[in-house]
Amino acid sequence: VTKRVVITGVGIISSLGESLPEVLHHMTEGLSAFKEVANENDNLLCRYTGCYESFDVTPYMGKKGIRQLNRCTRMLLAATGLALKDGLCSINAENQEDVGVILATNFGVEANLRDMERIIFTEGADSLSPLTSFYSSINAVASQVSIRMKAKAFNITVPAGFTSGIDSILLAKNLISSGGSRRVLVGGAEEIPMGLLKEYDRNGILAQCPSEMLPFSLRSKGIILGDGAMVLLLEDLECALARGANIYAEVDEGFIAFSPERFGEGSEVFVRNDLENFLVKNLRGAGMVDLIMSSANGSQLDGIEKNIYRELFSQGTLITAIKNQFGEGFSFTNLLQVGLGASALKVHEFPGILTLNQLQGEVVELSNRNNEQLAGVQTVLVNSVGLDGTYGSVVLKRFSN
Amino acid sequence: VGDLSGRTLWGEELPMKKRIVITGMGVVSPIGNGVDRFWKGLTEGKYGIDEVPCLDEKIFSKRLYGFIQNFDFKDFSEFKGIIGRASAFGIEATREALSQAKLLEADKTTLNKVGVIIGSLAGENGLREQAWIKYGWNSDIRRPFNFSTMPLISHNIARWFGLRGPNSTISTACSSSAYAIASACEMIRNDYAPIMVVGGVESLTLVGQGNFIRINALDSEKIRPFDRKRQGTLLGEGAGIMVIESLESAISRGVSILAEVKGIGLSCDGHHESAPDPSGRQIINATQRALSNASLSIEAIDCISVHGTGTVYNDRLETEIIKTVFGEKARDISITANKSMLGHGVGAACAMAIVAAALMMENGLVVPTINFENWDPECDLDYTVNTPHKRELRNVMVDSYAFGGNNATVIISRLNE
Repeated sequence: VTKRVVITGVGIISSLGESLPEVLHHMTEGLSAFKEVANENDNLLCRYTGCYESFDVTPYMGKKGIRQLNRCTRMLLAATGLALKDGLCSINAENQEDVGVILATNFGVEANLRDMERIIFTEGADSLSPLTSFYSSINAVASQVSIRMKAKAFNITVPAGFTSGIDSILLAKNLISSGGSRRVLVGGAEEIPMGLLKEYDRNGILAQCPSEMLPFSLRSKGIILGDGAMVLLLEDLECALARGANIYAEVDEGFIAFSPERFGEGSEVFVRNDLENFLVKNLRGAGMVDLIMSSANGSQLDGIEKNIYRELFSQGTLITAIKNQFGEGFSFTNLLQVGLGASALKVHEFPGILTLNQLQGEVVELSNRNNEQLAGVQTVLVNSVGLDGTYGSVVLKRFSN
Repeated sequence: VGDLSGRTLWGEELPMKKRIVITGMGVVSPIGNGVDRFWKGLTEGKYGIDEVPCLDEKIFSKRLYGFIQNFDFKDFSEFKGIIGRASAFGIEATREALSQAKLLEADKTTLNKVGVIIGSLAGENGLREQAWIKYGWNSDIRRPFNFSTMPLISHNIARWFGLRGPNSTISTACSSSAYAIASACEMIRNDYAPIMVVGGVESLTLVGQGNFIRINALDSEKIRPFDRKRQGTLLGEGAGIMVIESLESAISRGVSILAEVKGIGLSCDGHHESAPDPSGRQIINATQRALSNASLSIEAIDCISVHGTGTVYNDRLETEIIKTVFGEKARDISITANKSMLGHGVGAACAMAIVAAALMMENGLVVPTINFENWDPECDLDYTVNTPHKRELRNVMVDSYAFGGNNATVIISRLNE
């Protein structure tokens, strides 16, 4: 018997709110994170993102020592503080060597890298600033958590693509299960700079406005980008019980895999079979899943997910997509799926849910469900199917001792 | 990572876990591509660093680098996808490792389960720079990719060989491949995959070289770990790839076992972006956790492949830490710093050092720390200076530290140990 791992704290920084209740409230009201980009001179076809450009870290950290930190780091540090506060957990001299950090991020230093590349090509390497040289490595973002919060068991950055959030959750679970640490702060954080938005825009995979980003819909024109930070406190169950922690959910099994072919070239059958085999092995089949947190983002991959869900799950299975309110935030939204799934198991609240048999028409309407309908949810399946070929799932269960 | 003997770091009982063994190895390095040439270079004390012509002297005031000169990229011209220098190194080293592990010609059912985890600081960021060179800075011409270049190496390795198992990238700066190995071991122990391709890959990036110049971390003459006149490190590129699997899997497949991944210890300084914690407490923790994880006493360690970057402060601190952990035994341990030959391979450094450690055990030979001319009174251990040293090796400790304070120690053992 390996150690059981539970989620005991949730911290979120997004343009749709800076706490779980606030985010859920805004989601229920049908608000979205999307705003028009401020700069009008970039000839963008898509002028909307769910990025949190205006985030102010000073209420969380004051003004001292933040000048060199990029927006991704600031959001991550704030979200980490919120997760620890929500988990009623403090890191101190006694427990700091038991607390690890794992961060999923793909674009955490993108803005810095672009700036460094610009300086090298326009001014020469001698003009680089030594004060921000640490941002030449993507682990610099997560390192700030350990430096400032004194979490010293380990510090790992997972820039593994679309599924890096689930990847990180599973790595944390395994390291706790094997006794490598008692608690792990698992984060997903991204910062989308204007240059990257322009590249996505030119490559033609963005919808031109939020109303054209329609998860699971044949009428969807593409994705909208977003960013933010999500942090979960994962903990060894015995440790959590001993300190009377508030337990959101138990992290059960999961898997990650890779498609060497591009999606659309025959790999769908592997995605389907891997998910089915995983469900049979760990849950005795798809029938045990009550709620699916899909990764649908309005792209062509939604069709793959939709077909797999139709084949594997019963018509009454609840299903949701969150990216029509946050945008595609890569590891941020990947972790957000996990966090909101855990929240659904604890507070019985989740906006924008439909049943699988509603995934039929060209347009899919997500509708709010009340607490009573979610009260019966015992098992949540969080999925990720990425444009880069990565895919995976993790199962969350209602905690029962 | 818990204690394989059945206890966690806090003394709690855990079930026995799978033993992980290495069954294939591949290398691309500045001193030779392929394991045989790599080993020949190590034993001969070959120096792989020189001025790099492609580093424009108008842009870079320091151009010494462990650049891989003799690598044939034409094999990759038909690759369907975006591929750069780093992926090519990774694929070539993986080809050699899969061949040795008898997986290169394996059936699809087997390959479908094989996973890939690569440690790297910069991933394929060199591709970004090549795109700027090709299209011009801030050009409106569309670059051929818009997703992160970090995971491209592991993705491309999987695409090239048709590997459908778990695929991940770990970046903890200079200790990336050590953490990749820790993650891959967990993958196998938790039944995510029976076999993993794991290691580290790094290639030249202008941003990397530029930033090391700006923080004054580079020696202006040569890399000379533990020498009294050392001034800093020098960077290099390369790939070290291993095939790892459970002992049961290796035995059932009938493949040769090259070494066992006996124990891993991790820790984080949580101190500073680039400087190590002067107390060395967390490095000591990583070392002791690795020993505990391997169920070994300090007496069992015959050799330490040190991080040994050649920076004034780090080499002294590492010496002090070895003496603190091992006490009197420290002077009986053979120390080797292969960065003196390879340069600092950053994310690939630990993986290349583990391949070297397995070869040292197989051949009963400790490879030298070259460029050593002047004894430093504060660095007073047996650094195997300039020439190799014959010694039967049971267990070799490989140390790996990084910016951000990401420490890792991996213990590699002969199977009968």
